[in-house]
Amino acid sequence: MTTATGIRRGRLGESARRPDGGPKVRGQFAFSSDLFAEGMLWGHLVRSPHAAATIRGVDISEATKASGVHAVLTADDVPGRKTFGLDYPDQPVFAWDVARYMGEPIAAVAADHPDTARRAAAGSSSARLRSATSRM
Amino acid sequence: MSDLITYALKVNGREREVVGAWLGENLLYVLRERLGLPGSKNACEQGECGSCSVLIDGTLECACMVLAGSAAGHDIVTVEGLSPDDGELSDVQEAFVAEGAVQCGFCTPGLIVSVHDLLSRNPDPSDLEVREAISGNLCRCTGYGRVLAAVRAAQETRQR
Repeated sequence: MTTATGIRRGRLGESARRPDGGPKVRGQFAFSSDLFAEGMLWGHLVRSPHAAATIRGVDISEATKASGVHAVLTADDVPGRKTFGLDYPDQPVFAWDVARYMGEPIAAVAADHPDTARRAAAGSSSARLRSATSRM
Repeated sequence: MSDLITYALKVNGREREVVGAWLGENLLYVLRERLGLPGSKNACEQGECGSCSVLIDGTLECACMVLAGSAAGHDIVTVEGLSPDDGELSDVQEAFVAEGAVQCGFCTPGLIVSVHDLLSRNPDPSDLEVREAISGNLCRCTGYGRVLAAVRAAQETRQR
């Protein structure tokens, strides 16, 4: 048996210290939710309350008018193909004709404060986004 | 948005002013978005996951469940306030890195705060006490094995 000589330590088989460990234990590592850009808005989704439903219409008029709301998006706003996916691009960005599971996205609200977006999406107070879904 | 208020919070030993904030904001939002302290993480925002754990007057709390204005006049410590000023890591932070208890790292700040809280109350916890102390911190990467090893290592360092 021969023994290799002159091999430096610190390669294969070494127990390496995690390079991003320090920032992560200090709370200094920037995850996607920690990134910032000027003019960023808060988003909130309107989701189907039903596991299977026909969408008769999505009324965004009041949500759009609410103070602090910058945009309300539905399937109508998706340019080009309205579905996505890797091998089978068949998942709707937003459901438009039927909702196929409880929680399926139907619309998205963008606002200057997370609570404004939530309120607009929830259809409470002055900002109302009615998503007329019914069980099939 | 109505009900805008201005108040002061004492965070990591410093008085910080929160200006023109909505009354309904939770402490996690104010720490992250208004005071530039993003170390506390927002994962569930319903007090289930422990990623936003902070100490308020020495008591471990989920910052997302605390009305920010109600924390005025109390002593708040976040993960950013646990490292020594010299740029080194705390003993608990060092143990987490050395023992491989950090993976994606999203739950890590909350765990660091929880373990600091545990060891300050109980310098010699049993395995069961360690498990109970971190039971409010959900981690989906590590399986907790390396986290438990890190707590044990920090505990042994303090006893030396």
